[in-house]
Amino acid sequence: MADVVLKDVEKVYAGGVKAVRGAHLQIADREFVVLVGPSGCGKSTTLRMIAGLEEISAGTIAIGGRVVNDVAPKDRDIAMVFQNYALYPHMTCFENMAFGLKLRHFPKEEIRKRVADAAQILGISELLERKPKALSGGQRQRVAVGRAIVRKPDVFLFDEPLSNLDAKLRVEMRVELHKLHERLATTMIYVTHDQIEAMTLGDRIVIMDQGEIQQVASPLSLYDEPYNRFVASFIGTPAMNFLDGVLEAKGDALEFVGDGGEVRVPIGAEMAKKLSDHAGKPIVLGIRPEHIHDEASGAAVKAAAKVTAKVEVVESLGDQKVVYFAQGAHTFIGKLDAHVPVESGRPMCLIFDANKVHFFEKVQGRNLTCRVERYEAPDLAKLPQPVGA
Amino acid sequence: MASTRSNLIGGPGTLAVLLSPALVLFTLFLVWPALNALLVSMSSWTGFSPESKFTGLENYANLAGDARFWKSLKNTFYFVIVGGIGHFFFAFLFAVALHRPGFKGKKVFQTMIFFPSFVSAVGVAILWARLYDYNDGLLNRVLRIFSGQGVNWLASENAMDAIVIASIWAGVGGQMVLLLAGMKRIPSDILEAARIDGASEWQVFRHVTLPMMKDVTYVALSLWLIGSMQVFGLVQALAGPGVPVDMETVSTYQYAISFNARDNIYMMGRGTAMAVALVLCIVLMVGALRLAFGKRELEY
Repeated sequence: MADVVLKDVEKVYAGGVKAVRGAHLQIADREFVVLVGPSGCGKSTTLRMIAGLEEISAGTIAIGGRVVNDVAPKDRDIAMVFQNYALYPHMTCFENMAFGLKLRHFPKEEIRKRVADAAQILGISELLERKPKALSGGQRQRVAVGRAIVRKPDVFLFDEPLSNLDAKLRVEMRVELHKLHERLATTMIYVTHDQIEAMTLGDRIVIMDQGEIQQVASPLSLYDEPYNRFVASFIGTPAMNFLDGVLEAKGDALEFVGDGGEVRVPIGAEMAKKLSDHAGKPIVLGIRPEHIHDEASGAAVKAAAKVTAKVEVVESLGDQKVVYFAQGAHTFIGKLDAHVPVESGRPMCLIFDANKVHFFEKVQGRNLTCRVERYEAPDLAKLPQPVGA
Repeated sequence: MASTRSNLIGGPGTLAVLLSPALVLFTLFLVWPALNALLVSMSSWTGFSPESKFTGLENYANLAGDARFWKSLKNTFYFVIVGGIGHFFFAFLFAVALHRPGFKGKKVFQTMIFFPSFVSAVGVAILWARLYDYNDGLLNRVLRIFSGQGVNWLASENAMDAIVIASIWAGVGGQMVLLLAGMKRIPSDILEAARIDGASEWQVFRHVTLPMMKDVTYVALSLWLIGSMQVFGLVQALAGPGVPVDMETVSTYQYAISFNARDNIYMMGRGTAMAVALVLCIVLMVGALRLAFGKRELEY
């Protein structure tokens, strides 16, 4: 068990392409941290640098207090689960799982016991004599996880391990990985591009874009307090709506006026204080689709802003419907109850929950109303305790 | 279902029509010459005279008692085994080196190592004959600087080694390219998984790369066996018109006994018996290799 620290880590590829810039991250012992971001954001490169599969161009990586910049992967006491499982096709599942232990000259009996224990945890005891080709995708991934856990490493690394599984299996494996973390109480670093995996698995989530860490926070913080426009747009489905406009002073208070003047959102006193410097300046309002209500359900909203918009497209999700609206220069999405009557092409009166809106700098994209730090510290009290502790 | 299939691909008549050109050519150029060779090997035919007498297995019996044939077979096996070890040692070495991520100048080295494969056996022999030259050869000049004396590379006790060295220089690139292609096929994450599992580079090669290249290694070894058992051009060109017995391989002996204008020996029947024996040897060895390698294809 160990903590992992990245200090100003950079990765520059030949030709000067910067895959990771100034990555700064402290992962606590026993923490489950998820690196998430769009393709090419540098999350896998960061994980591979922690694993030692990529050299770092600058900075320091320490595992368990030991700087590992020049330490080979085999000497870092880590285990990694790959997207394509990376099982040795010429070995049985038992041999796959035992390979690392054999290389470390563990006694045969110990190897047998560890593999049997891991196989039992993962429900693959009856598959041990089979070769990988005789297994389904889900079973292969279990063997790959088994190969990682038999070694009892300091840190587990997962590189998009569920991407190749079908939707149902992905949910099952997600739950199992969560249980596994609780059971093993070991540091886990997990890379995914799937925000649902990130939100459900991570104690903290690291959001990356264009090689830079955008925010490190717990799932709820990320959702409630996105540090910038990228984070706000990345977390949440459908994505947050952004409306361009200006802040107008109304006596002591402020009001957001969207381009075209039709969308007007009054700003509460507390938020107005934070935004006072931006009065009269262009700004971007962000509101999540689930904070846009129809008139009936919006009656309970304390700080309501009425907006009338034309319904363009309706997508039914079963319990809810996603509605695409157009209002002058703006287009935005609302998530309404499935039973709300909505008709394409007709105008509809909507309620914006003004207490749930965010305001972003027009150019830099920083969230002006964010109440958390960009790098949130881990909540140590919530981390799983090792057995016997 | 059956009728659909037969409608799609036609009946037995269509199949016969489609296959017949290949079958005719195969029979004409392969089955017939092979049967004819078998017949010739059991005759006293000189290769030129219209006279030919059926001698049964006499040619084969003569071979069994021919010390020169056994010597040539021994030389051939020496070339196959020692040359094979040398070829594959260097081919694997170069392939592993060129396959390493971050190796700079990969293309240049690959071309350099592969380049001798373009040179004909006679060209290789002429080049190496110059290098091996006792008085003026580059090898002896260098040796004389360090040890004061040269080596008679083409003397009978060194001749086979000299042939092996020249053949490795000329042929290692071909094997390397095959092995490299096999290595490139292995998914990189499997090698990375092994490194993270605790394997050193040698252990990755031994436990992962090598077993996963079983099919390619089998093909490369089979090609080597088939080619090297028939080694001819390099030996013939390096030794000159009369190959000394110490350098003789089965193919050069077969040539010497079948079309030997210099000594006026024309024994096509006996030479063909030697060729048939060589084919049998090759078939048996490749068969043994096939058995030794077992199931070769890996499924991921």
